[in-house]
Amino acid sequence: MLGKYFQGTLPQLIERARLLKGKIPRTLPRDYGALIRTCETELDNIIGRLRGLQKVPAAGGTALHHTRLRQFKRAIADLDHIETTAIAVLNRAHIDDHHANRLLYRICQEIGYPLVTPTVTTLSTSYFYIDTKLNLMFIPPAEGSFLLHLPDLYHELGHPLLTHQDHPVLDRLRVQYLECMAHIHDHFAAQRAKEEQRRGPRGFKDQIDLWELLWSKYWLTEFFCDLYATLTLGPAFAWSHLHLYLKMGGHAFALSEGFGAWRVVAAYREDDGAMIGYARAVSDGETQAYLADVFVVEEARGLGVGKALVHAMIEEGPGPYFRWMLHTLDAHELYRAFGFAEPNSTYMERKGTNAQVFGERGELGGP
Amino acid sequence: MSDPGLYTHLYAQLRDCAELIDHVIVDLETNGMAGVKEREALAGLLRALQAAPASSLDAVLLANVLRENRIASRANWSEIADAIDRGDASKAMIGRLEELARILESERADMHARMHGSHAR
Repeated sequence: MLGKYFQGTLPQLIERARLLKGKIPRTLPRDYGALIRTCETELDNIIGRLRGLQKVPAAGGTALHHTRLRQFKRAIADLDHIETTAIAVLNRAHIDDHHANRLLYRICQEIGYPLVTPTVTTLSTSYFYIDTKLNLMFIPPAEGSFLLHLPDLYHELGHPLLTHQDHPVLDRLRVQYLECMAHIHDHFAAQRAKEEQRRGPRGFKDQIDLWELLWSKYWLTEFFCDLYATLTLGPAFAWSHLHLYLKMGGHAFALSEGFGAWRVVAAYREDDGAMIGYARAVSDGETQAYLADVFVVEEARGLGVGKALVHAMIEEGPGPYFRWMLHTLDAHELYRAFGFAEPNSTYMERKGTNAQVFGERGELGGP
Repeated sequence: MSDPGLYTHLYAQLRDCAELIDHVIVDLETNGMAGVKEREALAGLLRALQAAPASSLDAVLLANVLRENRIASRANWSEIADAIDRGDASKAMIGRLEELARILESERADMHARMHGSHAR
């Protein structure tokens, strides 16, 4: 059945890729030369992959069948991406883009940027970002004449430096990046080892894993690009960064993506960045929340860290008007200060059966 | 950079890595020799997974994906790399590569959805 589907669909997709090639305008200013070439190369590459799929024999093992399907899905996704980004940009070239491209070109000349200057479009619907594969930078429509955010252009220029493969000058940068990554893993391995000795709540260790993953997957790259922007532009980048932080709002140490958590808040020691406290909540996100873990490492107790965590969790988050619940053996006075009180006669509870695991602290591992 | 840029960057890496693995699976399954370069590249990538510190950005990416899927400790990547070098197309070998390819495809699809403003999972 899939063979028949491919038989009908592959020629259509090849035709669609050809059609998109035909939609590349031929009379655009030089600003778009690199993007046009990249676009043509990518579309040729997709056509080649689709033709390759036509040649794979319909018969074959299960793995071959799955492989063919995955390759097919990727080709469609890539085609969609080119159509909705590069082709859309080329067909909507605007004089504002031209100004932004001229500006970026001059910046690249000034800082001795070692790669081809990215093409800029003012089509962004999501602040500044760069598609490194297409070497295409997206900025919001008013940025060409609004200088407060322009330092972020320098940050975006940092991204291709990490992904570009064939430039010897950049090899050293990649080596430094990988060394930095190794330090990150060492740091979190040490944190994990400490945590195993402490035997704190499981959520605390999960949080260490999550921080490591986020550093490894996203933040180190961003940090390198921030450094590049600071190095090439100087203090103006810091002002721009502060503005962005304030604009985006939220709490600096709040994470939404946490192992079954609705919200996680952590506290860190200033001098070495070690995590010293942690709070986790589960919620329906609308009216009710359960404060599942509040934990402060022994050496930081008595310093108001627990109070600060509960404050950040309840008062500074999206749920200050929610009904909050918790189970706790101790620190009752701390929680009373935030409005917690013994339940009235309307409250009922079914006891958990996993008390052997969580002891008397409650089935959700309460504070 | 806002999220679309991060997702686009990861997407491109995931896509290339997924393409590489699938190319090698097809090559091994069909007894082809056209993909010698790809086999070498994949074997090199799998060996880099066990190097500390990681010796390439692709190895970092793959290690992250595997850690998220909690299968990092289950496979001896050097062994698989050696098998690729030998052209081993046994069912077990293809099965291990298939598992890797399936995980990468799931990550890629998720990243593609994020890039375009939704979430696949």
